Amino acid sequence: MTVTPVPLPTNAPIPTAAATTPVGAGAVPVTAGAGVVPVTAGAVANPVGAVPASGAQGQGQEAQLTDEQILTQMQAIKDEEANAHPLVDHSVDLLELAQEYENGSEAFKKKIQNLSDTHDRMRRSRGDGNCFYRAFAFAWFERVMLAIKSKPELHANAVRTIEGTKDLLLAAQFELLAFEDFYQVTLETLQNLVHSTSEELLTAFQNDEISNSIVMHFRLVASAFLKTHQDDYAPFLEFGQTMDEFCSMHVEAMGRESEEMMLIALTKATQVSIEVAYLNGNQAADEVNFLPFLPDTAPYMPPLVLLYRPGHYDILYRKSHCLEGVI
Amino acid sequence: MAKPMFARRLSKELKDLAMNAPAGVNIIDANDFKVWKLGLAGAPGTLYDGEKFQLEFNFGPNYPLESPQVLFVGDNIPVHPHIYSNGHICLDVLYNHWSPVQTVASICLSLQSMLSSCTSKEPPPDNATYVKTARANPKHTAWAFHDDTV
Repeated sequence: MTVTPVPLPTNAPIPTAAATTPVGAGAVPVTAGAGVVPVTAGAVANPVGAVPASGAQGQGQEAQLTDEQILTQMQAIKDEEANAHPLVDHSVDLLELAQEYENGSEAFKKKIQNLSDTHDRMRRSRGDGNCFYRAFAFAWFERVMLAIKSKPELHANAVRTIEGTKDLLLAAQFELLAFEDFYQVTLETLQNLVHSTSEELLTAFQNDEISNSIVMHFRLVASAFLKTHQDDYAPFLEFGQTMDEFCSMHVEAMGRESEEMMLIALTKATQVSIEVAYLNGNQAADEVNFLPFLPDTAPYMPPLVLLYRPGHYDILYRKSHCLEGVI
Repeated sequence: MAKPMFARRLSKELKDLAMNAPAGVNIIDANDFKVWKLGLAGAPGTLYDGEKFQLEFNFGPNYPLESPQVLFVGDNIPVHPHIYSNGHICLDVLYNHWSPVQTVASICLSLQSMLSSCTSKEPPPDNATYVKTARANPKHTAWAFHDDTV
């Protein structure tokens, strides 16, 4: 191994491999010549890079925050975000979505208007890169909970499915030690649905530890499915990328956004179908396009409905699904 | 849930490390769930054969959803193109490629393999400037990722 050449060519894509070179807080001379690095890569490890560093001009010229202070500030920012946007929010009337576009494009307004013929409510999932997994898990668990009396088999089915994910994860070579806490939290949340209220389910999904554990578990399930079905999905990867690399970078890491392949994987791994309503500013159509994601066997309940706007997933409620008790 | 998740996870990892530590890895101090010190021995037949290093792991309350802070400490910091003389380590899984499927043991193994594959003991080319300006916590550095297959 030779020494890593530090200054990156300005237009170089950042390779995906294991070793790194710091672009220290704007103070490392290397970065001056290669200032585009973080932009092209999206690979900046930590936003704190923006904090001014005192650099070589000596101490005391600029206020240097201690790591402790930075941590406190980051926590404050997180808390603010948490208050403004809960991980999963109360549901709202779909017309509230229309208000977001009041001054926006006609295409959006028309599509939302048409969407509201068949869908009456929506529920926001925080835009933290985990929105798909969180929306999927909440929509599924809520569906099961609301049907706990009328269709108890949905619950039995879900419990069986989640229990089965343990073997899937083991088959994909995940270490039990590394995933069992997430698995356990997910299973317990599901089991508790027998006596949960809508309010309690929402509270669980708004709790960082519970909610993120469930997200993590569903990420690992999607990853395990892709890894154990490499022959089917590897052809969709970028040239030269292995499924393990793809999964560790894009599926297993928290906050990484999902694409169609993860939706397909999760649908097939859980046997839960999804319909995604694609809402965009395309003027050519007045209707929102729906794309179904189907399991291999006939679905045993109506699809979960998600609303997709470029880069983000929320939950939609279809009138014909007649879900009583949504809060 | 009686214990917070990071404590549950770390007690399991500790037990596992005590029973099946990877070769060359030993626990020096793991008396709380905040900071652990581990010993890492250079693998036989590599440039670091016979050398002993110390690693420090700092765990936050969001571990393992968030990565631990990991650095080399003590008087012997490995001289390696991806390890700065202040102990900071350039390894993507410690920063933005972190995933909770990593464990203390798996990180030790990654570091050991990073050392073992080294063919020339040299510090990173920008070591002097970086060490002068870096913060104590390597997670506060914005890292750009290079290929290490060089």
